[in-house]
Amino acid sequence: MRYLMRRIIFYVVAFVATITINFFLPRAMPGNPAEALMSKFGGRLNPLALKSIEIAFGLHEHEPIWNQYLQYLGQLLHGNLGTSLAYYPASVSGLIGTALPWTLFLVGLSTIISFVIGIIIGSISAWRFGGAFDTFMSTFFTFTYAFPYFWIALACLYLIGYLWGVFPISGAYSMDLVPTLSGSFVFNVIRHAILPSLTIIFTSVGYWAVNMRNTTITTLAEDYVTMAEAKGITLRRILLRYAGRNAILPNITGFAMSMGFIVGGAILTEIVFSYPGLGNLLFQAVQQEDYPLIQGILMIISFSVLAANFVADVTYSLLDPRVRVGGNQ
Amino acid sequence: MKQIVRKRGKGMNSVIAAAASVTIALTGVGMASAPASAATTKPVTIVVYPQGSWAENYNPFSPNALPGTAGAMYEPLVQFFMVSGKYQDWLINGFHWSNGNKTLTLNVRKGIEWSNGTAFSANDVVFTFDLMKKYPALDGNGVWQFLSSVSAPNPSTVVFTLKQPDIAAFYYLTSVLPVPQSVWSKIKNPVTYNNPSPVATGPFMLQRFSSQDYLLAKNPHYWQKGRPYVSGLSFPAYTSNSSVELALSRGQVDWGSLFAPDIQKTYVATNPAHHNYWFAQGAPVMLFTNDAKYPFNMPQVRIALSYAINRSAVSQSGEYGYEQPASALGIPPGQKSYINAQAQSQAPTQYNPKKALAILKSVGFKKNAQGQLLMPNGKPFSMQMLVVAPYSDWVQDVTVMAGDLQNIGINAQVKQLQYAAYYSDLQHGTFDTAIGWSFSGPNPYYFFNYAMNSAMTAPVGSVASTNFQRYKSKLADQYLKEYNSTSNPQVQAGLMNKLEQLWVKTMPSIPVVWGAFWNEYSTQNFTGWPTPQNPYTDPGPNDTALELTLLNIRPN
Repeated sequence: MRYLMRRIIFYVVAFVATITINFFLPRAMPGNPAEALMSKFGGRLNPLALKSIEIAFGLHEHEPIWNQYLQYLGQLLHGNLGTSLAYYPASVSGLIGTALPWTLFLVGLSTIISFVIGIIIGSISAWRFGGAFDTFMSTFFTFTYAFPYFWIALACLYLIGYLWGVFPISGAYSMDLVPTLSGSFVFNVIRHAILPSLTIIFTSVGYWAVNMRNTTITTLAEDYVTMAEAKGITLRRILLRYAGRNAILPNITGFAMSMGFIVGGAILTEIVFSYPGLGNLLFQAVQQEDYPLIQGILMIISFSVLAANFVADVTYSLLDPRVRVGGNQ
Repeated sequence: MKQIVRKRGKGMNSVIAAAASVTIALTGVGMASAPASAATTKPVTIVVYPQGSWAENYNPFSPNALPGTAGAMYEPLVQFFMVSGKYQDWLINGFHWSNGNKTLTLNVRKGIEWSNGTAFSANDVVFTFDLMKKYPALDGNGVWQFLSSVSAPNPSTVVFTLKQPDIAAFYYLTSVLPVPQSVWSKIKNPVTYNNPSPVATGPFMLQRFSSQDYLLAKNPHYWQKGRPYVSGLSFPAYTSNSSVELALSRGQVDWGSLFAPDIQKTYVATNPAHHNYWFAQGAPVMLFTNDAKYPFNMPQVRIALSYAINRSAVSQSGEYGYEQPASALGIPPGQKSYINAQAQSQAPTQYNPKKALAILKSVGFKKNAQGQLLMPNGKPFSMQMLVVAPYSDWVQDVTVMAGDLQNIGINAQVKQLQYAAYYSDLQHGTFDTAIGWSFSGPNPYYFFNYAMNSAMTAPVGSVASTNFQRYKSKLADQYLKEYNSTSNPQVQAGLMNKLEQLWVKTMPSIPVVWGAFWNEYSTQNFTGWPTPQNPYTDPGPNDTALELTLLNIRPN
């Protein structure tokens, strides 16, 4: 319990630090959001409009920064992330609410699939250590993992999507469809998700497979495995019940942490495939210097990463008793 | 002007864009294009700028309103064409000045209905202006800075009373988009209202919205009977320039406004029979000089700089030739009726580094043994050239110009900034030189007024509204004031000539290339687009003038 308490305090401090930095950093930048908005219109906007935009954004009233900070904290407590500037007058939480489900669906599902496939292949590789399967898979995965992601994504987009027309090249669903829960819409969404999802799985599965293989091989060399073998326990049982449980530990941490990053979206994937997720939204926000939206998304991401880390800590302490009681002995 | 699209998506994903265009270029011709059947029921697919997903906003006062809000739904009182410098009465049919050009009377066109079937009248116009007075955040044209009152003596007449004679006010007043009083009088906060069920007078009305695509359908109450010929409009959301480029090349987009390197290969070549572009040349992109700062406060220095830069090289190297070399006079070719031939020929347009050096030497500049150019005060002539970091074409433009200036011994350095920081420096006058869009309007008066009027500037350190170069001239102020006080075309023409002469003699700032109207269109499904041969409106789907294109195109 003391271990968990320490962790919780750590996470609270980290979170407060994050939101504070999140508040002050954009305000240290020169210029104001109204000027940044002028950029979007590239000289096309009447110069006199700047005044009206500043009034709309409330920039004409000069509020001391500490008051602004307190207001910001107050708003956060109410779950109010403010108003987007690039999408003014849309609210930041509304925009995040629209984008987040797509990211969770695409990146979340892809990460889970990639993790499961990677762990299975990694275990088999370790089991067949040095064999043909292992040699091939290790080489192949080192290759896919080392490959620049955007290259794979563009190649898939161009070959499979553009040239062969097997899958759609952009969006989360066909633009002429209205989102409903009908079978045809769900099918359409899945069709649109396959290509981006494949590219994520293709480039990330190697990480899990190679890691799982290596940790399993190390574990297989442990004395208790030799002991188990000596007792005549089947290899399959050793792999699943003895070595596997230990070998998967570091991967669980890795997985929990990557779940946190899922919320941030796979920025490159979403941009290449025009997928309307959070990564895409962040990209647009950065381009348009939309500070409230950037703040909102970064806060959601940092919160998820911290939360996922916390879950990893808890899981770890459950799976590994040494962590739980280590300090007392 | 019109650089919305290309200016985005140039930072982080420039690699992606480049890679995508290379891959397209490799395959060249032979893309399957969209099936031609069912064209009659298909909406016109338009991409104005890439945006990952849409958030509903059809508030005509909002600068963030979704594309199509202005022009396709809400209409101006008068349509202005920036390329040709002409205008056309729209919701009005006729106007006149009186009371020493302090009173503007508009005759509201009869028989116009809002899309909910109620009649459009002068009262709606007056209501709209009163709303802008009550909520200054809605007053994007800043009309209440010069407007004293507005009234509707009868349902077909609007009378504006101005604080002083102000001919230029016509543009600011009549480009406003009126809203229906019956609807907007009930809105609690019109500033943050996103207007989810727009009621307007234009040819289209909202059919349905999703964050990936929204559709506009024909407005049955539209006042130009029989128009539009097309059944509707579709505005899909694409994340980036490169995804728009792919969609354009596959024929999935009918009308786009995209800056793409090598448009011939990436777009036209993918369907040479139908894919076209017309990048009309508009108000110039400037090299702003800080005229309040030594040595730029000397007109000869500014003239010399104008001779020292190679505009053709800038156009070819930075802008792929799409934005052509500007004349130093700054009046775009479409507005040639305003151009004074003498001023045009005297303008320091031609690349001539020798002449530049001679002019500089004539005012006391010298070269030292190392080839550096020394200012009359004996210090080396060095300057920073500001540019917006993600605008890769501008960075290239400025790099070319810096090279030209270094060739004559000026220590010119490129300084890249983010937009807000860059704009703040321009406004406050904390720069030496900077590339930037000029401010302009439907005729050269606006360009000169924004750039030369001392009322549009401010001391260094304070915010200037448009005259970033901080040019001040009693003559300019006088000509501009006289021009703005007369509705006599001959007097105006004489003053315009004087302004042009003054411009080329003092070069308040340096026009470099013309700003392009980015505009790609496909004749696969629709024909009748504006072309250089038939320039009936400004090309490109950016401004309210897009309405004329939408009214003229027909399904095949």
